[in-house]
Amino acid sequence: MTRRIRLIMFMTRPAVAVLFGLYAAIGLASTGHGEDRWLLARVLLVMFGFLLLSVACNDIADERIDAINLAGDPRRPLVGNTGRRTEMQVIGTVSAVVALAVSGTLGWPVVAVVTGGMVVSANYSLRPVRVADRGALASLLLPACYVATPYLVGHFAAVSRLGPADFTLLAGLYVTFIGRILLKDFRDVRGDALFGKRTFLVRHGRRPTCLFSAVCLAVGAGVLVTGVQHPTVPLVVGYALGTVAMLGLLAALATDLGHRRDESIISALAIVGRGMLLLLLAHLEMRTAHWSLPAYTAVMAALALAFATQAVTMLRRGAFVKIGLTAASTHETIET
Amino acid sequence: MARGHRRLMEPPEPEEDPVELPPRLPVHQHVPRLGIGGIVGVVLAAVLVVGGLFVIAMAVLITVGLNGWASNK
Repeated sequence: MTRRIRLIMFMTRPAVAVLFGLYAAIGLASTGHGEDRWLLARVLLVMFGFLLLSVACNDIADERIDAINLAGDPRRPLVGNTGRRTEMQVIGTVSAVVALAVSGTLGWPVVAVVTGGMVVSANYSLRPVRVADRGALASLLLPACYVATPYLVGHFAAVSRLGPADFTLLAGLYVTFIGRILLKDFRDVRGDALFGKRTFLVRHGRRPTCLFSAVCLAVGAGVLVTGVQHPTVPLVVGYALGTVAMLGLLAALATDLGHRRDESIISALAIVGRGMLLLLLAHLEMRTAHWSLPAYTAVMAALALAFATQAVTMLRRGAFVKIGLTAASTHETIET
Repeated sequence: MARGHRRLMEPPEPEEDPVELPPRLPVHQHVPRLGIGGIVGVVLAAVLVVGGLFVIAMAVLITVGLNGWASNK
């Protein structure tokens, strides 16, 4: 039982779960209902179901590639020997059913969005469609699915229509996500190349990938700031500083300084990216709650400070990676 | 075959660390610490709860916690 709970925890992928949660919370906050906790709880439950299905499909389809990129990593149950294929199939199916059932309490637009998201996500990984092998289409479709599904679930949970500002916000989040997901391929490059997974990095190499990512992140940040309702000076300054930091990190990543250095830079980029999403969420919620400008500015400054120091720590200390379990210990784990 | 593809298909060379980074710790030695960013995050979350913004406070706590956990302390 304990092992199965751990398996589900591994499958939720904390960093991805936080990202989905932030997109959903931003979608809800954009309607002015960001502090409706009961609504948000149901939205998050739907998102976790969607996430677990996506992870199950991805891990089952990419088992051979992960065996090279992430050998022994317990966060990949099939290659880390912490879970079985049938367990993942069951967890994925049950999660999908739960997500659909809960989405039914949020209205038909949410059901439609979740159903569409699940179809796209499953076909991204699984054959015969397997969009993951289709180069540029994969780089464009997956971010659309992973951004639009949580954001629209959050948004439609409160309001059943989309305005021009919502489309702009969605576009900004989408372009920014493309810039970030391209960097994930640095970790996976060996297995991707060996199995013919034609990611942007495999096809074009390090420098063009960093350049394209920089363009996406800068354009996305610009679109977000211009598209958000009632932009303020602290928000614009925060986004400008965050964008400059990300461009600096990408410039460093453009030079090959070793796998561990790449990991640290990409993790620092992720911290800055999450910080910018939180700035946006805080902005939406504080504007709705009519906070005074000094209090608003102080919160935005504190947020920027917290994430800046954590990004610097990541750069200096490196990322923590759970690799190195022996075959004997992993066998023991699965038999527990 | 694209140039970048061919380069990446070459057998990986032994991993080096031209830039000095602290050594990776075994899993059992990993102790997440708050750090300055974490302390600022916790204080900020408390302020936000007092101000009535519970959701953003939780988002700050979870995100700051994730960042701290992910670092190689």
